[in-house]
Amino acid sequence: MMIEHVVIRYGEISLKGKNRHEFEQRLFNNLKRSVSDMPEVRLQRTGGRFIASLGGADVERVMERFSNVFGVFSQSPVEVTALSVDEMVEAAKRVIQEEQGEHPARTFKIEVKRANKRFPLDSLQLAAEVGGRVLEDMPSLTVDVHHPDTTVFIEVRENEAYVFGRRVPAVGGLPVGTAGRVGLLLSGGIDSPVAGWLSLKRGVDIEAIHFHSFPFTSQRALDKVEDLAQILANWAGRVRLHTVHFTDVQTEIRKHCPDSLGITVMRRMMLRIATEIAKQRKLLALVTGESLGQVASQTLESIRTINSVTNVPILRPLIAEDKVDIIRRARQIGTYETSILPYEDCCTIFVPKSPRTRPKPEEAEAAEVNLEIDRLVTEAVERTTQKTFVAKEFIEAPVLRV
Amino acid sequence: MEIYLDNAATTPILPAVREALLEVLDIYGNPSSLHGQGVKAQKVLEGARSEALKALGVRTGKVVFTGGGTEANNLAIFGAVSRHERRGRHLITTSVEHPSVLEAFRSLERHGWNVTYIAPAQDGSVLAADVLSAVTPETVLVSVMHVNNETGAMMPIEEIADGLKVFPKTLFHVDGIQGFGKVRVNLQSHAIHMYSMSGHKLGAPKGVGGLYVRQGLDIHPVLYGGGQEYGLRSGTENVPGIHAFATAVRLAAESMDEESRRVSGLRTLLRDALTQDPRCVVHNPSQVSPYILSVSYPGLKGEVLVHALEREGVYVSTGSACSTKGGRIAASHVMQAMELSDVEITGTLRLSLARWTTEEEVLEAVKIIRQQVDWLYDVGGMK
Repeated sequence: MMIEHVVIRYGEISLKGKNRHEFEQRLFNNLKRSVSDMPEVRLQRTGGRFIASLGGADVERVMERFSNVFGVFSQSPVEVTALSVDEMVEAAKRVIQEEQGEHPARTFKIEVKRANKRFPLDSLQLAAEVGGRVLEDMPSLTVDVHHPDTTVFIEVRENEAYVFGRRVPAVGGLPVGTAGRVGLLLSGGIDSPVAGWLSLKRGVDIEAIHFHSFPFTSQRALDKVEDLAQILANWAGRVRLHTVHFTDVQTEIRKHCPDSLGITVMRRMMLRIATEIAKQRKLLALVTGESLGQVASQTLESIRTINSVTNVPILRPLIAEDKVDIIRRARQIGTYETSILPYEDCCTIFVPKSPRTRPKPEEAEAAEVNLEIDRLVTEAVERTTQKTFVAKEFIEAPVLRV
Repeated sequence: MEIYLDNAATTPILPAVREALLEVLDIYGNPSSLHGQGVKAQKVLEGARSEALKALGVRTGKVVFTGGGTEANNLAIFGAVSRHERRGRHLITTSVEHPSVLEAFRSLERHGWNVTYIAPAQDGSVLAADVLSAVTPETVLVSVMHVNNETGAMMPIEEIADGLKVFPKTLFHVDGIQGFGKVRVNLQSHAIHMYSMSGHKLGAPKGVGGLYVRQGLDIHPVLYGGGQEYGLRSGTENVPGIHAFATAVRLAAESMDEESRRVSGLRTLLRDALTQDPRCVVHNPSQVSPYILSVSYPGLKGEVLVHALEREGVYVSTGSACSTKGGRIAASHVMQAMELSDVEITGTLRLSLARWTTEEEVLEAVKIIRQQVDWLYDVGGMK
């Protein structure tokens, strides 16, 4: 049986009331983009879901692409039959058998939607008829209309019927571009790309902000960050990277601030600069890869002291994650191998021998008295360079539902 | 102005080598072919072979062309050991060898061989007496490098070769990759059985090297196939690469002694100028190659210094170019073997000269190093 259609479900966004149309349009565009190299695939919206007509494209490949588009919850390959009950029964049996992998379905139900009102049986009649004949042929099954192991959907259309069941889970979330634009503080490490990915998953557009301190960090470290921005762009469609040339700020901190508060002051400066970029670029929030207690600058006291320099909301999608889980996610989304390349980033260089782990805001302010904060921030923002990354590769990784 | 002082890592292709390379690019024949095109290629190959032998100062023996220095070292070690494994189970090398030697021995160790690793003196040089006193009648192979790639230490290979004469069954391999074409060695009168060479340290392209194998010595190949290169390195020969290699080798050999003296003067100039700064520590082996100077700025990170200098157009390296291992920058095994302190190892810079390095470049580099070191101690060094 040749599969020629795929049903794409997007659950969550149908809850979104009046914005629904915009969400669907975004998702439609994002789905289109994910198969832009396969012009034969056609998409249409129909009753709270999409149906893709493959036009000869490989079904597995198309489903892998769609499964990685944020906003897609699940998909099903569709069998198309003639308007014949016999054919529908055979297709329903194949759908049930498909699902009888390791955990054989014991109960099922048939759900019918009859768009073609000229079809001689109505929905209930057709469901009863197909269900009864499936039961005859597969005696180990029973019908359960409330909690079936398998549901077979039959959709009676003008000239054909769609029969489908198997729900293949997809990445979920909300379509990128529906939740506003945020600034992602992107280092070369493992965490921040994952934080960026998770925010993409909730529908935001991201602009990455990276702090580069040549010669304390190398050209290779910057190349690595650009590679990470590219990977995120492959997911997002487009990511703009702001590279803040940060060397002068760091050397001024070394000169004027006590060593033990160096990291705190450095991160406060980063946040001040990011806040300024957020203002200019109209970014609604900043996203960081912080995880509570992971390193000295990520204690609650430290987060509070650093956070106190800005009014822009800071989102920390990884705040409660364990490192092992972050690493697992980084592997899944394809950033891990790049993140572990051994080039220094600003966070790992200049680490003082005994950093304060619980700095108070007043202490940080006292440490900054000799720092010309406004000048440094203004100059750093002026020196910032931009580069835009657009999706280059189609994401075909296995499904990422966690 | 760009000043390239990282010639121990690799060198630019010399103009004369480029020309020679272009000349033979269209000699496309397979040297093993019977027809005229093959014969032409075969002639290029044989010309290169005699050029290499001449540069080595020997009239007999073979030069086996390889895909570089690492392959030459592997061929020497695995080839000799597998051919002569019945002579014993013991091998000797030093703990400061290049990884292409060290890792080969570690592999043999995992396969049941006993390997003695001779530690260097604190200056990075290895004493001949230490090597010789480890030799037993069971020792199948001794491998000691000619010039250490990180410190420039010249190892007493002729003295070791002479001392080994009383062990006629023990073979002696020298990794000559940093010495070949730069400092003289007398292979003929000292019993050095194998000597590894590399082209890209002398102005030839990457991917070509060679192994000298003494007349009458039989070793096994590592690569099996069509039997090229005396059966020791199968695979259709890299004719243009080998010709380029031979050209670079000829140029190096022509003026080796004069240039060695001149470059030695430059090294002294460089060293003396840098040590006017009391923060600069020189690693000064008792016998040292004129082409390599290793210094340290305790408290600085060599890596940061490298990037600071590159910004000003000066290219140098930290301990060694291939020191990234398993995702982390590994501390140099050579410096560790010399028992240097961690801050000294971290602050190490290697400056490596070439035959074409000028006094003007050295003086300019000194000026820039001084500026950048001052700046880094000011902002990035230890407080």
